[in-house]
Amino acid sequence: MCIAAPAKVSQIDREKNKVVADFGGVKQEAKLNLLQDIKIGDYILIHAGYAIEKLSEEAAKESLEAWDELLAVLDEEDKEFAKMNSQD
Amino acid sequence: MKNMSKELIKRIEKIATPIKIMHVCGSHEHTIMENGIRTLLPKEVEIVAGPGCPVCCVPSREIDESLELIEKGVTITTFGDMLRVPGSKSSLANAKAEGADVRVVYGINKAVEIAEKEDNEVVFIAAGFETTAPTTASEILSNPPENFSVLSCHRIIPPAIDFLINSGETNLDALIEPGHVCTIIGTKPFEYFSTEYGIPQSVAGFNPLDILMSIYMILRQVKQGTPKIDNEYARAVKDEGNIIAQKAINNVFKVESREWRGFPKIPNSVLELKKEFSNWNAREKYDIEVKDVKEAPKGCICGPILRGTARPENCSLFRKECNPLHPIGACMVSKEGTCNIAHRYSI
Repeated sequence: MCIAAPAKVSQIDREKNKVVADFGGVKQEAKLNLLQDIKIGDYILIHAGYAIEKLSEEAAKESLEAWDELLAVLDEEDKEFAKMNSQD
Repeated sequence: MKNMSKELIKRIEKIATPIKIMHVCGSHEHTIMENGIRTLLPKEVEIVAGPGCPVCCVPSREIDESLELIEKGVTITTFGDMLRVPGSKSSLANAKAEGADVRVVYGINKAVEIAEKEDNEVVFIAAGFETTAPTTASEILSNPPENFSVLSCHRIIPPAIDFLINSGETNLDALIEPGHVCTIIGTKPFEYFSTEYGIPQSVAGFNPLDILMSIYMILRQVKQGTPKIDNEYARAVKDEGNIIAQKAINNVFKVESREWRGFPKIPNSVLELKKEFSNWNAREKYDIEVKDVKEAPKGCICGPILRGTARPENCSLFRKECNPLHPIGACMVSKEGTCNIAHRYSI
């Protein structure tokens, strides 16, 4: 039930503090009470009618590079860890 | 571009060790089963599902409370998954079939809109973990109409995990933490499972690669002897979480100790409206009191399944009397329930 889907903000109603967001063609309203500084074109995560987090475009699109970059960070940490242990 | 799933499985195989990893999220169970992730892992790496479906965790008592509200003539609004969750004697779906005014809404904001347009008393049955609780808090802080109120069934995850760790029954070695709960509360409330109990953890997203990556991150911690909470889902989870949402929860709710389905009373594990909001608290407004609560239907093992000590296949009712068209236990009701998911994806 904690499903939340990324969507791109296409309209903002500042008075009602609501947005219309686009899930790849399907448009839906979401309330902005739990987020600040949202503008048109931003990507947001929507749960039960509320925007709950802002995402970068790269994060919203879940590109494979993100996991590749994370693995590179982990490998770098592993090298540091091995170096520290060999010095002990 | 390399084949990321193969790369991750290769890495997992390289450092695999006997380990029982629990996740506490129905969406994680869905991703794991839909993609056959258990079958891709080395056999010593076991993934068990914990109390990750908030609808499944709503105990009979709270369904009975909702049914008593119907007796008082109110309009009930709630999430679709809640309708067939069994109470002691009946469900909201049965009540609706018998003519009660029970309406499915996408979120609490739609329930408030109904109360604004209509004169009847409208109660929202508010199920959900920390992901959903701020939406309830936000509506209460927005001063909803007098004919609106909430029956809070909101539950919080860390106390349930703490209960499972200390119960000695589940024997979990590591934890995959729920991504969207962490979007709200961040990673800090989970840190002490690593620092106090030495449990490796990773927050995970909902793509199959997120699950594989988080398992790799956990095994890596085991190999290095450095239990901590890694954040695999940094694209949607900040360490500090969503501060505005946390403030809304803290302003509106107090923490109470209450039972979960399949669990006894878990200390400090449910959210109840604070006294200053009692005008919108259906328990206060309607003076409801339920008696003779019966927890599980006969033969149903939702309790052990929610505690991660049994799988649906261990239940004698699974796929026979209990199926998605005729669910007997709560875990077969929701699309996030372990039994419902197993019915759809296991052989």
